[in-house]
Amino acid sequence: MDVLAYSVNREVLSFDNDQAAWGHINQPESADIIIANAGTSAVDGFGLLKKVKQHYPRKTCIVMSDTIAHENQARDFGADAFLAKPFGLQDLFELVQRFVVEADWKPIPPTS
Amino acid sequence: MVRLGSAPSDMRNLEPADLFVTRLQLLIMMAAAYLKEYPLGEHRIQAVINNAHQVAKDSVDWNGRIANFRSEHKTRGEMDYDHVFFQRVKLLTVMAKSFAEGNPMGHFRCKSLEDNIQKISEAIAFSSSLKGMNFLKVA
Repeated sequence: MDVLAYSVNREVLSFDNDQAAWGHINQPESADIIIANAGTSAVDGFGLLKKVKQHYPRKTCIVMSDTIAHENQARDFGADAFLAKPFGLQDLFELVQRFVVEADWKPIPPTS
Repeated sequence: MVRLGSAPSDMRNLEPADLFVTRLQLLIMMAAAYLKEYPLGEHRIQAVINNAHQVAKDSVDWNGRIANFRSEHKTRGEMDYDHVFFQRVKLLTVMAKSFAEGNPMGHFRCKSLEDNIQKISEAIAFSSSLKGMNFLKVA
């Protein structure tokens, strides 16, 4: 989180479970980039990914995992990126470069 | 879909050592960016303080994960650490908190910071180059 907050100089929020994350995403002016951890008991990363892509397809979704099988699942659910653990500082900077800087990031208006 | 991180054959969960090294590398980059007068800003300042605090906590004795580190000299992969290394890391955390909190640095403190990040970078085989990170120049 500190890497991302430092890189973009914006607030970075974290949630312990996918229900809380979904509650935030459904609010106006919610996060435009979501990073979800796959394969933990408290967070159903793929369930969250599926809901986000279904209701907010323009939001960027990144899945991180230590399991090879999750990469194909992430692709099937429409993830924009897969972050394979262990990852390093340069991988996180690369995420910022691709999805914030090069994406010509603008706030996504809420869908009706 | 973009793929980043480890190759499939190397995938495993993050270990405390991975997190410590990543945080330390980030702290080095934060210090290098400060020395180049890159803009800080509210969230960056908090990130520096948070990161420095965590690195300081973890570097006391690497949270007990290394027995008797003060009396041993070990090499672990690309890292070469000993008692002096961890003292340098602790010093870096103090320096980072200081500049993040807006304390005056001055020429000698900046030189000292530069020397310290160079020594730590050598020990962990890390380049503190900010090349290609133009997003850090934007507040």
